[in-house]
Amino acid sequence: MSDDLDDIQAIFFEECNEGLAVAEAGLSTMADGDTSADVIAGVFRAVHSIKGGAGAFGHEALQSFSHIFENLLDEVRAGRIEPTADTCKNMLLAFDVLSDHVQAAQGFVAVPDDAAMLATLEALLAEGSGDAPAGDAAASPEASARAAEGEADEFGFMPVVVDIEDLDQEPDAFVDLGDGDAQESAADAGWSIRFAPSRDAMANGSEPLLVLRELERMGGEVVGVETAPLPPLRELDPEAAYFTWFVSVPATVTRSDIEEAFDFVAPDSGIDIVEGVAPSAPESEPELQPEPAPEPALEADEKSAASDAAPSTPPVENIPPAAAAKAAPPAPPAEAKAIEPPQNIRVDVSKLDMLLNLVGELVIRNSILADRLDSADQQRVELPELARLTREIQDNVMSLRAQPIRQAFSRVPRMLRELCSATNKDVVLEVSGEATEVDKSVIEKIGEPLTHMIRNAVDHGIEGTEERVAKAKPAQGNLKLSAEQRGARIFLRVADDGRGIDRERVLAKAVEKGIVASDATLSDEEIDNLICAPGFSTAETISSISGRGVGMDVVRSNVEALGGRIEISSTPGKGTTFTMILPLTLAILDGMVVRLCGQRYVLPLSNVVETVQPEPGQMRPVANSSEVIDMRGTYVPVKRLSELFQLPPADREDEDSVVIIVETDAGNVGLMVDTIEDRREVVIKSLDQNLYPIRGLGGATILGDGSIALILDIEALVASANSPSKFVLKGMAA
Amino acid sequence: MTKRILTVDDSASMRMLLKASLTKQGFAIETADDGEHGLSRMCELSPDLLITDINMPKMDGFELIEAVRGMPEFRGTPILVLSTEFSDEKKARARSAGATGWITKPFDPDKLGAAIRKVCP
Repeated sequence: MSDDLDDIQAIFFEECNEGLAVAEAGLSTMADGDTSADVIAGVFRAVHSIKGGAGAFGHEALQSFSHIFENLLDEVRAGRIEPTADTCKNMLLAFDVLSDHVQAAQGFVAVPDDAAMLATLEALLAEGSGDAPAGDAAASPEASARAAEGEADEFGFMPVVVDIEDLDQEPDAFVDLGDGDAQESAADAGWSIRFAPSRDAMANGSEPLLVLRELERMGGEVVGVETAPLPPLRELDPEAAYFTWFVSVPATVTRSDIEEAFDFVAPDSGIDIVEGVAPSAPESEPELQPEPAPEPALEADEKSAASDAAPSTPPVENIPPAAAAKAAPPAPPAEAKAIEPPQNIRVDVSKLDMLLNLVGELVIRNSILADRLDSADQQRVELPELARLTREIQDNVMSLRAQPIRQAFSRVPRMLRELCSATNKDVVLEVSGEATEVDKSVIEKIGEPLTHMIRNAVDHGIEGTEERVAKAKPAQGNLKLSAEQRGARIFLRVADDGRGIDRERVLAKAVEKGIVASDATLSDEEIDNLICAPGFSTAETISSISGRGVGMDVVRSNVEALGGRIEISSTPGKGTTFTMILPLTLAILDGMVVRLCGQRYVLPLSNVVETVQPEPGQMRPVANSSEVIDMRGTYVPVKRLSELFQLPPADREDEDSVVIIVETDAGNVGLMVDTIEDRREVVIKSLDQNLYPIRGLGGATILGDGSIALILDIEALVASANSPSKFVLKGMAA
Repeated sequence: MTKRILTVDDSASMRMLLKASLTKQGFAIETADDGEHGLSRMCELSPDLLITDINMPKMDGFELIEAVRGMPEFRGTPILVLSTEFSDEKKARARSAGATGWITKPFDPDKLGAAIRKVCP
């Protein structure tokens, strides 16, 4: 069972996370002003489910916190508490604590200190609608304690406590059992119970005889029945209850057990439970029945059979659970499989990693075969078919590892709330493209750079409300977080509408720190990039938020370690945009193999638009040794890779070379190489395990003949070609 | 004869938990994941007992109970509510809709079994 429970609990935590996402989205919607019933009900349901499961799996801290939170939501749902902006804000903060509790329940973090938040929620509940909710809140600890014990609850059932003295004065409430029985009952000082089911007791599927059966199961005995109210047959309502039952139960049974037997009895039934007295019958009691007469109701055969059997033989269901389970257990699970539609299986990530490595090897072996076999042999061994299968396996393995980037984004709203409250700023978050799928390895590694960029944006970028108003900007700052896939790259943007990069200050600081020579003239873009230089921090005073001794240089190297890069664009007074450009996967790439000065290089095919063998005159020089190629009337700048790499100039005509038109952020660019060799999948082998990240190179790969080729990072190549370094970047890896 | 119970709950973990613990006690458990689904399963299965949650999408527990109780063949079928809510107001509403009893989540498997035996002969 414990394994089962673990599995079920794992599903519960998945549900928790789904619920948290729903709750957060709903609460954000509410905070934005949409407090429609549907939105509130959605949030309520999410928190409610978390509470339910928390109780079932024994996470008490989570349960009691979600309980109070749920109470508040219930009041909001019922319209007794107004969902004001302030209330919504507090509920979002409560949501954060709830997330911590969910994390804690999974053992990821320590149980959060929720005292302050609880006090806030209680206060909201108390001020909400005068007495009622306050009373609710006050009652709740008791109620949740009761819930925690897993005790069955009842329908407002109030046991009537009767004093023994009263009984002496009012003996007519009980059946006289005759001397012998009375002595016996008095001797073991058991319980005397009077049960007068309401006339409508059998409505709603209740059956008074089942209560009697339950009492008998505890060792009780029916000692009398008052049948006087039974009407003449003609007036008999077959669905009504007429009798009053008297039962004695041994003293060994506790009162609460007896009360539990009456859990589902309609509230208007008469129930007296009295301790230690021999029941005495009213003088008027005409008959004494040792066994309960069959209910007058025309119940189903089965029911009356059961009730007939009840007094003497144990009811069928009283077989010990184990025996009963033996009788009929395995059938239901088998049926269940047919019903429950999506089947998931949890797999250790390391197994997927291993699979991916193997697929990588398979891809390389494929290339080797393709290289070593001539094309007739390739056909004969059906190599193309093998390649297609390999490709399919690879796609499928990659898709197993692909996850929506939402996971990396999910922490951002909370982080932003905390940042806003720490900096006393008001920032609204816009998120787009969160469904973009990225390899798991990438998602895991972008969290930290993302966090840093967002901290940066709020701490340094976005101004305080007063400053914004003074600048005639909207009072509320705006932070846009977006993801999009372009070919084999993923673009992650963090854009703020803050003050932008203060270039004068950045430059001054860079000179002061000796990062840049004091007489250097830098373009705006170069100055912006200085904030990624090691040891650079523009904050005047180290704030608790971004001044952690970690600067953008670390972010940059983290991103570069992923085979990505960072671009910064900033407009003074309007804001700053950081763009992380990352590979979708860190493993395999569709590439074009080109040859240049005897060496082979791989270009990511996703960047390639077309290839051209220049006609005479198609290449035209423009100013400053730049060149363009005339592509059907439009001019595309051309870079000679040999020049970028400072390779010896090739002794060949332009017409013998090939220009590969690639798509970049800066528009289309032509790259001139000697020849194109092949188009193939390559397995990316990272360089940074052995080398510093090198701008312009995305890694290396092993080709089919066993030789090594460098993989080009086109964007970085073109960017560095456009802005040849005019200044020293001390300590830069590249 | 094995009692057949339909449990209706929108949480998969709760359904599985109910199923696991009640199957052990010898009940045959069928599940549905919201009120609408529950109502159609009710008609397919004619179970001996219905256990339903209250807060569910599409059709909530109250509506489900009313709908089930409104069908002549289910007039006598016991219906237990299993909910995290415990307000008297909600319980009264459930009772007037036709519920037989109310059990507060989280449930203790043995007590739930006992409660079931109390309404389901």
